[in-house]
Amino acid sequence: MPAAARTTSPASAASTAVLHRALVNVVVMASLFCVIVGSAFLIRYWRAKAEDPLKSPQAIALKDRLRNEPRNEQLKQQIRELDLALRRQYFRHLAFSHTGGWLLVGGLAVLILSGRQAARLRAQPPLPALKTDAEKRAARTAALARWAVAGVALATGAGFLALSLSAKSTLPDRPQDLAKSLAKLSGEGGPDLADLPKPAEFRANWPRFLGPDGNACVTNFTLPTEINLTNGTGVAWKTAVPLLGFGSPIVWSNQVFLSGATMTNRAVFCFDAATGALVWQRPVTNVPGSPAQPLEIPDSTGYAAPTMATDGRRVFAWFGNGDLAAFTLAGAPVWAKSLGVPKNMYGHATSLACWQGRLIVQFDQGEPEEGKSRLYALDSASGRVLWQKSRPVGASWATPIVADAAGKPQIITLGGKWVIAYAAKDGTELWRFQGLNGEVTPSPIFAAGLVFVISPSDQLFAIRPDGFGDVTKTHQAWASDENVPDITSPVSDGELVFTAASSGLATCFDTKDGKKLWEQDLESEINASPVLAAGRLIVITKKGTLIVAAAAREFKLIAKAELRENVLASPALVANHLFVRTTKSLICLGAKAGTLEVKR
Amino acid sequence: MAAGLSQEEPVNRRQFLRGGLRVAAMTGVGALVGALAGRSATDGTVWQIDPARCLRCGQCATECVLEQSAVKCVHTHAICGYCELCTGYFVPDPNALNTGAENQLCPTAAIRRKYVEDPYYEYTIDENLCIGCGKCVEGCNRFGNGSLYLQIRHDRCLNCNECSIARVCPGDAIHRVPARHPYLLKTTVSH
Repeated sequence: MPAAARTTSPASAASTAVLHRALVNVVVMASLFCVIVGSAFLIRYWRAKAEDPLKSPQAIALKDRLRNEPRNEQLKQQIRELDLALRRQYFRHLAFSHTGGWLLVGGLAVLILSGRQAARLRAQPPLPALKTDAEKRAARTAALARWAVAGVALATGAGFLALSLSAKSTLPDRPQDLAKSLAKLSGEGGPDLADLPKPAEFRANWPRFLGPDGNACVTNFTLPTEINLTNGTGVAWKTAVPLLGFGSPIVWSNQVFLSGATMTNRAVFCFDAATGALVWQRPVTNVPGSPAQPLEIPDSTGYAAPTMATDGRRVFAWFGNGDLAAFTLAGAPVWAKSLGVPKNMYGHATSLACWQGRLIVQFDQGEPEEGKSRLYALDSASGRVLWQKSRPVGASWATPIVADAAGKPQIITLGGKWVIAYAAKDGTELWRFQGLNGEVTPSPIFAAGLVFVISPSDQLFAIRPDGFGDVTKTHQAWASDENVPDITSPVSDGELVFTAASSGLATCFDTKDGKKLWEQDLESEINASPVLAAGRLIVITKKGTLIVAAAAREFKLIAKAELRENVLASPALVANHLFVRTTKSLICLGAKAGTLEVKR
Repeated sequence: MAAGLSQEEPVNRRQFLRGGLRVAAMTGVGALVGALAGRSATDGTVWQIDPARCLRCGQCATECVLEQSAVKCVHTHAICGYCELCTGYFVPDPNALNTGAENQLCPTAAIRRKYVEDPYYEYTIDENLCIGCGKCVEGCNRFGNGSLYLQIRHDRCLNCNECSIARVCPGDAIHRVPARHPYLLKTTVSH
């Protein structure tokens, strides 16, 4: 705005001054008016309060006097005049209150309006005082600002420096390690093998169902010369198992692991292999994806039929309701998940297997046409699915093996009518063989360069594992239909194959041509798969009779011992000790040693 | 027909918005009117004296926040006996049955006495003068038919949240009543 416009003309200033003066006069008059009216108000109010005309003592006295002088006309007149005066006084007071109130309101309104207007005419904008040291202060402020900026920059730099020195990236330093980590995250890479035990250590332990490679055969083993549960001869220890389960024991170093379950409880147990003491037990609860409602599973299978497995650093347990849990050897939970509730009319029983940091899970269920069956390879450290393959089979009960067959690691699985081999690394199907029937329960074994599979109560097949695609017509080495078991798995020392049918019939075949060499009726029902221990065939009947026979071309009974409890699980053989799970206990047969020494 | 259709101008955006606003405004006005009508129809409450519980203590004249109380004397003529010696009008043992100030009970001469026929007189209340002292009510109820009684007049009552007379009423005669029926009228003789 130009300066000329802001200046006020003399005429305008004069008229403003006149107006202001008039308003001030109005304010004064209104104030005076309000004071007068207000004072009058107060005076009348106090007077009326003190002298209520309607309660005039004078009127009361006159009326009392009239009672004594009823004919006194002058007195009557006096009362009437006083009454009129009092009533006039009273109603005048009321009228004044009414009128005076409005007058006071009006006076106050005029006072406020004129006062505001007068104040507005004399309003002055604030005029800041002249600062004589403005230049000095500006220079000081600028210097301070420079120091502040420098200080903040210094602090920020120091912070970044401290951060860069203290914080270590979780990413690997070397590009090749980074690429490996990224590959692992995307599921392309395998698990970290650096931390895993050596293969020799696996062979010295019993890390899964039917031993390290699924063929329950150990070559360096000394059986106790005498076993007597009554007097304890040949028995290192015997410990009660808190929960029922038909899974077999697994052994790693000086620890024996078992799982047990009921309809509502699931748990993993760890026993000291030297003393049988229960080292730890862990419940398996709150597994993500676990079914909310308990499952009905037949008693013949139970809720903990699958045998546990270990990769040497962690143990894994799978239960009938589909819960899969991993613990460290010390019992700390690592991961747990549910791959889904198994659709299995007899109850889920397939055991786990481990191979190079992978947990192999054969999850066959339902009917073939439902397409629900899968083979999973999980990262054993995290439970992450590394790969999975759909399987063209329905529910099965056989446990897969991982065998170095035909120069490559193969996962050999049974289910439905198929024997299917997958590449262990990525799950690529290598070959398949059609020949199975019924409810496939016996697990495959690999020995003498052949894969031995059982079609329950039907045939024993020997298959060469070096084919591709459907090898049904090309890779069958031999087959036998004599005394074929329906539940138990075969066992082989590479020269001979032994079977033990649930009927109690033990049979020996030549691995080369499948020729039956002998058969022997053990005269007792058998549910547990037989094992081989340094030239001895060990069979434990369902009623708990441990039978030792020569693993030779001719049958020769060597020893018998009564465990006096029912046995449905296969024994584990480690360091000259035989670990047997009965329906009630865990029994360790062998010398009573202070510690169990496992060869590595 | 086709020609007629072609002559219609299409509705442009401005017309559409204007029409929409008009409809919205009319709807709003309608809703406001409806809400106000609904509010006025709802039953509020007002203060009122229950004549059956009134003790004629006289505090109605002094305790009201108004300088001249909102309580006034009312008269139900259907109950009145039209007595020549009205005990609500005359002081006890009056000097004479006339309108002389020495004979009237009302301190403000708010009751008018009018001859009807011998020996009946009609009594009416001048509400502008009545201060609600209840002296006439006491006289009428004590010796007459009780046709005079006190009521809170709602042209004057401020309908305070808490009635200052009700706070001190010894007979607990003042209550809130529905605004649709603001007066509790006497219909029967009381002695």
